[in-house]
Amino acid sequence: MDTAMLSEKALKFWSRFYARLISLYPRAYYDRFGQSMMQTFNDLCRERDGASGSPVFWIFAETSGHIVREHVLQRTKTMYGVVLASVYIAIISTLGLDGDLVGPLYLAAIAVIILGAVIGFIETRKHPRAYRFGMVFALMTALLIAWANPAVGMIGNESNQANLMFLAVFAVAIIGGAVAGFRPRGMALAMFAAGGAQLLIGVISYFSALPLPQIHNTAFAAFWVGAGLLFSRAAAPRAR
Amino acid sequence: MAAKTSSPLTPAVLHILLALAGEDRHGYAIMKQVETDSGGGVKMGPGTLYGSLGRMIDAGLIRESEKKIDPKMDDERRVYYRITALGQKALAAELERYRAVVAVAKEKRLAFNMNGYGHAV
Repeated sequence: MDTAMLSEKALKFWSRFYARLISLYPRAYYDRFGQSMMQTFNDLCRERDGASGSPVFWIFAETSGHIVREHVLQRTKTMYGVVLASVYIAIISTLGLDGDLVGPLYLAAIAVIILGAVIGFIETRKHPRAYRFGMVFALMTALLIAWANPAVGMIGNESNQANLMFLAVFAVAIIGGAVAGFRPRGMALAMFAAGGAQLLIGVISYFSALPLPQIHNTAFAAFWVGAGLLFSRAAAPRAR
Repeated sequence: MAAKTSSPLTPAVLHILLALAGEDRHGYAIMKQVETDSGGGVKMGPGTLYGSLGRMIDAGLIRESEKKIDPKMDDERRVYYRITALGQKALAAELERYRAVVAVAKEKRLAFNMNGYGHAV
């Protein structure tokens, strides 16, 4: 055996270790390049002087840096979403319980929803048709609620401040979508959660002795679920 | 995402395109060719290499080749990469940029020496 090469035993040891390391790559990246990276690693080990063992360390260090990089790159969209959600939370947390329901802050909250939807639409370019329909459905539901709530008031009348609770439904949809990086499966879960939040407001109203939300509250919950089903369809392996 | 051939290339991308300009190669062969082409000046690790390959495929500069080396001679699971027409254009555009820079340097009578360049002759 050539002494300038890593022994087969050492090669197996480092290969196992490297296999563990590259499994830390994002799943899609690992599936795409994992096997090739292992082959390249083994090739590199076979050509290196194994006396000190150090030649493999730079490969580990270099690969570790790139694992972090790929995770950051893949989460850029999620980061945008988190920033968007943070702005939204900041806005709704400053909405006072006094004054008119529709003020500059309410409009700003709606603007953030629209901005989120625009980012979602940009995402639709690389997703199946069901994703695009799901996004349209979700946006229409959000805008209908945003319009109907101050117009007629889903709880009591349009001046009832309890109607501000419905902004929390948007928050669930936006934060859920953001955390999911606008990916189909995560978007589906976010929509189902928004539907659940919509119904929860009815339960809260009941136990808080508030006027019960009008019947279209249930319809809006169904719309969220409908959007969720479309995103679920988009997440299916053979969706087009 | 299609790459603009007019956009400057990163050093890693340039070297990988150069390595693939002659023939289809797998990852390790690209690595070795880059090392040879750069006189040992550029050493890529697997992280840099496959990160660059992924982005280059997405940009349409290279693609996976159908070429499969004789399994007796090599591991048949190896993935070979091939430069695309867009990749060739991008490489040509980048080399043209380099030529233009060298031409300007010559025009300004700048000389290269061991300490770098910037000395008028």
